[in-house]
Amino acid sequence: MPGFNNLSDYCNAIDLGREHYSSFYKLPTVNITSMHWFDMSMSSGNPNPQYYAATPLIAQQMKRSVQGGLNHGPSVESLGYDKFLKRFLIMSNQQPSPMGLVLADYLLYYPFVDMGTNDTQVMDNSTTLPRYTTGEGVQMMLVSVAPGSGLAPTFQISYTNSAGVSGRTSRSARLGFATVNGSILSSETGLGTNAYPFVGLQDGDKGVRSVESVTLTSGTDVGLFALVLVRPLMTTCIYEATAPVEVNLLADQSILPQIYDDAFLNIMIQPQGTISGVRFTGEIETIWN
Amino acid sequence: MTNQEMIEILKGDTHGKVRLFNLFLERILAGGSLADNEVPIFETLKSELVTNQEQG
Repeated sequence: MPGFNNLSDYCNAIDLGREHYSSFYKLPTVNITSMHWFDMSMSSGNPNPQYYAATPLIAQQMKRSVQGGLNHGPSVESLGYDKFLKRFLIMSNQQPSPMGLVLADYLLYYPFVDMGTNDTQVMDNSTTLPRYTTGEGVQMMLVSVAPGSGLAPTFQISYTNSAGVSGRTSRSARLGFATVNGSILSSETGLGTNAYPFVGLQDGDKGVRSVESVTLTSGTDVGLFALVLVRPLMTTCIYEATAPVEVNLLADQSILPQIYDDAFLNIMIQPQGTISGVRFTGEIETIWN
Repeated sequence: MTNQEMIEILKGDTHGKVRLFNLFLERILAGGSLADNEVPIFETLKSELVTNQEQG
């Protein structure tokens, strides 16, 4: 049976070389609004940026083999193993800290949702979630891919939840004021209905399996955004620029998030001010058994 | 060109996509750069047109 039954299994996996180490860096070049969440997958660095570039409103899976993302090591499931997150480290060379951080498996996105219309925009779901296929724990975030003017129209999303029930409705919320690519528009807090940085789900729902449609219910803007389905794996915080933050998942959180083969891993951060020119460097280690 | 106009081109036929792609490419080859809102559109066009070319 894959996984770890005890600490001895964990140590044996290390002795047998079933672990992977890689480093990364990101160099965003945007002036982000303070306290607004930002999607680092669109920033330059290693791994290369990706731009949620595909045919409008047609679901696209996200995979390491296609879009890149953090290097978490080889595919192991065909060998009978499961892979887990072992250690994560990140630091920045400048303020603005403290910065909240979420490491997530980006699963699927709907490209180029238009902020310029109040018509209901219907999604094409010919493609489904590649991982976490029921949608349990899967959240929605709205990432700016063509900046608006900060007019912050309100929106509502119709989706199928993780129990397979269609026609569920997100909490009515407002798109964020940030006007740069990569800003997570669902991290706006003015109406108190976003789940920050994710879209607030209908009460009782534990995740999203697919999105049926998006409607801007009041107001419009000139921008475009991608609706991205992600599975958060780990949360931490960069406290200050003078010291890295390191998370050893077993020792510090007593849980090893599973990393599926071909997962697209990336990070989102919540800075206290502009991050233009701030260099983020880090390390990620995985282990399998 | 507005974002909405570019989206309509992305939803349209190959002819329009090729024109828009060439517009971006000419600007790049002349030493210019793409605006933030144009980069994802350009990447989409590049992906679709190169894929279509390879499959064709």
